[in-house]
Amino acid sequence: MAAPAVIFLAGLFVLPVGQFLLGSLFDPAFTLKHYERLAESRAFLVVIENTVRISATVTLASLLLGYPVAFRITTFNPRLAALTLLALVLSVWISLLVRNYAWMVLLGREGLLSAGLLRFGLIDQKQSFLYNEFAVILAMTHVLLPFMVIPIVAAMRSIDPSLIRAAEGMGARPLAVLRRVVFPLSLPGAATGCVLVFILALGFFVTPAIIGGRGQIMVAMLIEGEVNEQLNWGYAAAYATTLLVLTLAIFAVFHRRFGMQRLWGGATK
Amino acid sequence: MASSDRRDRREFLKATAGAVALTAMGKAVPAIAQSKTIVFNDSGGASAEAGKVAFGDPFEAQTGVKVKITAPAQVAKLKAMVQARNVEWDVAELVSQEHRLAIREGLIQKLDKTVVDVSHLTPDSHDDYSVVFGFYSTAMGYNRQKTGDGKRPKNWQEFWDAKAFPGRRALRNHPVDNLEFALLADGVPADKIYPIDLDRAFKSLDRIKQHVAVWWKDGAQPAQMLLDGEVDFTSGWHGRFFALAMAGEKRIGVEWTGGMLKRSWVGVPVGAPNPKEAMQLIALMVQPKNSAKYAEGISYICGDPRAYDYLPDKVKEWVVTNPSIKSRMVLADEDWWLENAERAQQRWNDWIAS
Repeated sequence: MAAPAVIFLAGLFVLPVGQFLLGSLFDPAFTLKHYERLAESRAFLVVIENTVRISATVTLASLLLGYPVAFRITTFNPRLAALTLLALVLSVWISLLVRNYAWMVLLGREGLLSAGLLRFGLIDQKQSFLYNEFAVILAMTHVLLPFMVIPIVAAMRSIDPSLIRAAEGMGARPLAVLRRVVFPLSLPGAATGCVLVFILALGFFVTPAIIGGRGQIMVAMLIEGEVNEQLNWGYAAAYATTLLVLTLAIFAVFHRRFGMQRLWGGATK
Repeated sequence: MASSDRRDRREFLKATAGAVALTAMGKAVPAIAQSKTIVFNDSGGASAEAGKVAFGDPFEAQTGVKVKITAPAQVAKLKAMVQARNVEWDVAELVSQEHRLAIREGLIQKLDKTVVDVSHLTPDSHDDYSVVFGFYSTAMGYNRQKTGDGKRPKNWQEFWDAKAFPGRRALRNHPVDNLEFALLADGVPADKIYPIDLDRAFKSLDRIKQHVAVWWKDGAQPAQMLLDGEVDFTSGWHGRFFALAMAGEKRIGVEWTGGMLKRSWVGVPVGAPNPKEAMQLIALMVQPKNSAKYAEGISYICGDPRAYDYLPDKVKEWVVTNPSIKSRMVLADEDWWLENAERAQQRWNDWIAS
């Protein structure tokens, strides 16, 4: 049943990507020179650290902001819930570049944030909030939030209502129901959201490139340079493979703890 | 319930099949009736618009062959296409040292000099494989409103001097041009810049590192940042400043001294579908009148000095082959960059990330 999908994926995804990644080891003869060069690169370690740090912060921010939003959505009537979710999904369809430039306008020296803080006397002259970690995390969280909210909503909706009724029947007050029934059962959804956001964040290029400063250089920017300008595809593949291995390692940890089927919204049992 | 579902599905499939058939037919008919189309891949944006007026439309008027302009100019995509033997472009723009890279990797074919007349082109604007269709530059832009002519750096040495010339600065997040600017700032005379002493360049860059507020990546950023008041002085590709100036924007000023004179080339990819027409288009691109028309749109012009004479005066002030501008600039050495780009980039990445 899954055979056509597997063939499709294998032919159009695994094979081309695999061919590119193998270029890091074969140039065309077998060689380790790209990985040797990677090991010697000071920039690479710094950039990997930036990438992981920024992705982790974005994930945390998305979780803190997204969890309450998801919860609130589950308390809406079906129509309002559908509209809210639609709004979230629509935001994903808007061009990433447009959204990033919008942040540049808002956070810039002559932007809304600067003007607002000036008006309320919180700063004494116009200031730019761009080209730093704050801007990058803000913009990336803005883009990735839907990927946190939707899995949590899905997890919360799949909680058996009879469990809640049982808790209430046993005398639990609303706060206790939340704390002891809803929250623990929503955790796998939160975990799914975290993994999705983290992995998507790892590969980000546009946002750190145009809103970030020197300290926000992420791996995808280095890969882009090697692919597009140096035409050194073997070296780019070495970068990419390392990032992929890192991502797979995270997947492995997630799978051990929660089970891979969670990501697909599969059965919790 | 089930039977009506089946009927609906059949209706749906019929409608879809009909639509697909119509589309297929629609595509087939024009292919028979229409004339040939060749593809010119260039940087896009203002360049594509100027290119359509200066090259595409005249070419179609002369030969009946349509020119489809695609973007962006990416030598990586060219390499992938040539390797896969599935080349979509007939004429490809190659920016600066990418053109040498393309020649070295065997991606473009030799020019047909019986079709392309190079006899009037300056020696630095053509070789066996390609011609320069746009001299452009990286120059210094500043916000005229904020600094006027008073306290602004007039060369790279002054740009490097944050004390004497206070103001927020921006430079590109890339070694290209910055290494040369760093050496100029360090007092190296223009004719002694190449081969670039990397150690000296990076030591010079160390002095300015803390004063650079923004390391721009996107070509549109410099002008935008000057207009937003984000920075006061920045390097930038002058064509962007030109476009704004021609649109009436008076706030951006350009300092040409110490700017890097760069070249954008065109060539015919190996395996291009229509090489004959491609060569004809290239021949047209270095015709003085057409090149001047292109420059009116984007201020980039070819290496034929006669083209300069066709320009309106206000454009002459922006074209880098203008003798008063060219004499103040440094011609970028594409061969040095071909050999050293990788090393320079690695060093730059290490330097900028730390």
